[in-house]
This record gives sequence, C-alpha cells and structure tokens, in this order.
Amino acid sequence: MFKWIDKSKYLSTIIFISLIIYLLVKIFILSGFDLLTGIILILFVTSIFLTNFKVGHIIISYVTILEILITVFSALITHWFGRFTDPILSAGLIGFTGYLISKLDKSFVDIQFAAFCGAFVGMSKLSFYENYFYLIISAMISGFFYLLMKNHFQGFGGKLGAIAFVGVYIVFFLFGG
Amino acid sequence: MVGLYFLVFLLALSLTLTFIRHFDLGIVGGASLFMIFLGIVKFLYSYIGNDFYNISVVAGFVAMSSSRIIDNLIDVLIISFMGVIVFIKIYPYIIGFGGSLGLLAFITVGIYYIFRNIK
Repeated sequence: MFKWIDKSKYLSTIIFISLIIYLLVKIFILSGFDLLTGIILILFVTSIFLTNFKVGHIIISYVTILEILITVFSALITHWFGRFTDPILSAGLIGFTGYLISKLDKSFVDIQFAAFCGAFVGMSKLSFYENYFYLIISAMISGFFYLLMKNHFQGFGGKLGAIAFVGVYIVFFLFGG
Repeated sequence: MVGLYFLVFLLALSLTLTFIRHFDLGIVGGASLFMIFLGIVKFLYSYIGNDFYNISVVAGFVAMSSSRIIDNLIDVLIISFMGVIVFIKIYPYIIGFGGSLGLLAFITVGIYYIFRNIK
C-alpha cells in the first residue's frame, strides 16, 4: 500500500493530506464552491503531489505546497485561538509548536518559519476576518511571498512579519477598503 | 515615555536574544517562547498599556536577526533606540494589520543594516 511514497516521508504526507482535506472542507463550507471547481482543485493538488515542476526559481513540489498549507493552517488556528486568549500568546504557541515539529526530522526545518509566518497573519484584528475565507486568501498570498523571499534577506529580523503584512494588506486593499 | 519604551525594548530584546543564542532554541523557538512569556505577563498584568506589549513583540522580532547584524551591546543599544522611533512614528498608521509589528522590526533592522554598512 502506498508504495509510491518514500517511507521516510510518511508523516509529512499524512500532514499534507490532512491539511488539504481540512482546507477543502473550509473553502466548500464558507464560499460555496461548486463541485467542478472542487474536482479541478483536487486534481491540481494531486498532480502537484505526484510530480515536481519549476516556476521561476521556485520548485513546486508537495513540500512547497505543504509550506503554504501550513501557513494557512497556522493563520486559522492562531486567529481562532486568539478569540479566547491574547493574539500574542496564541501566535507564540503556534510558533513554538512549529519549532517542536521542525525538531522531529531534518526535512521539517522550514515548517517552523511557515508556521510562524502564518501565525502573524492570524494576529490580525480586522473585522472582515470574521469570514475565514479572506483570512485563508491572506495566508495563501503570504505563503507564496514566503516562498519567493525564502532565500533573500536571510538574518533580517521581522522578515516573516513583513511577509505576513504584505498578504494581509493586499487582501485588505482588494476586499476590505 | 520614549525613555520607558526604550527600556522595555532593551529588556525584551535582551531576553529574546538570551532565549535564541544562549539557550540555543533557534530563532523561531526563542522568539515564540518569548511571545508565550509575554502573553502570560499580559494576562496577569492586563492593566499595563497595550503599547508596551506591542513594542516588546517588535523587540522580539528584531532579536531574530543574525549575529552579523546584532553582534554586541552597542548594536543592541542603537537598534533599541531606532526601534522605539520607528514604532512611535509608523505603528499608528498600520495598527490592527497582521504582521505590522514584524514589519516595524524589519524596517528597523533594514535601516540599521544600511546605517552600519555606510563606509
């Protein structure tokens, strides 16, 4: 069973599939995507999962998609958890969880950065984030920017926060203004 | 008030640098641990103004810089002063946006990096 998956990647694969299922359920419930869009989305994600291809200098593989999904997931969790407690504490807990996960395996090292970046998106206090759809879009844009900026400005504190700000501001500019 | 902000920034920056460099937690581990600590403090002392917590978070993000940017006590002192000025001048315009505190930290570090490399 699942012979096409490298054994060392079982855990990351399970996380990847779980996140896709979670994200799809969220998108379907919140924005009412039709069945055809859903099928196309699933085929698209599956094709990325099975093959690697290159866009610019970014290699699109399931690892890069995983990082974007983790950004989205951590933004959602931070925002949801921030309703019951302080956003600073909430973001700190998500960041530390990302750090602990990254300690599990060497291939998970970048997960902590994606999780922390998503946590900053989730710290927003804007009222239009009551609809989680906009939060997901913000986090996805931030995730893409994170991939673009990954190898730039290394060692500059606040880079992840600035990336999160770009994602949030673009969505605010498009939908919130 | 600026002096108080400076002291808070300096304290938060030093604490996060200790977490990151001396406890060897990595930049995400150290900064997030500091944020957890700050969240607990905020829960216990909620009557203290939000700005003090926000400026501490900015300091925490600045501390995520590598040792080629923040290397010694002079760097810490100068960057703390610059961080306070950037916070006071820019934060009122971007309040409420996710990542705004990170952006302030990034601006501070960027300005300091340019300032440090002027020959």
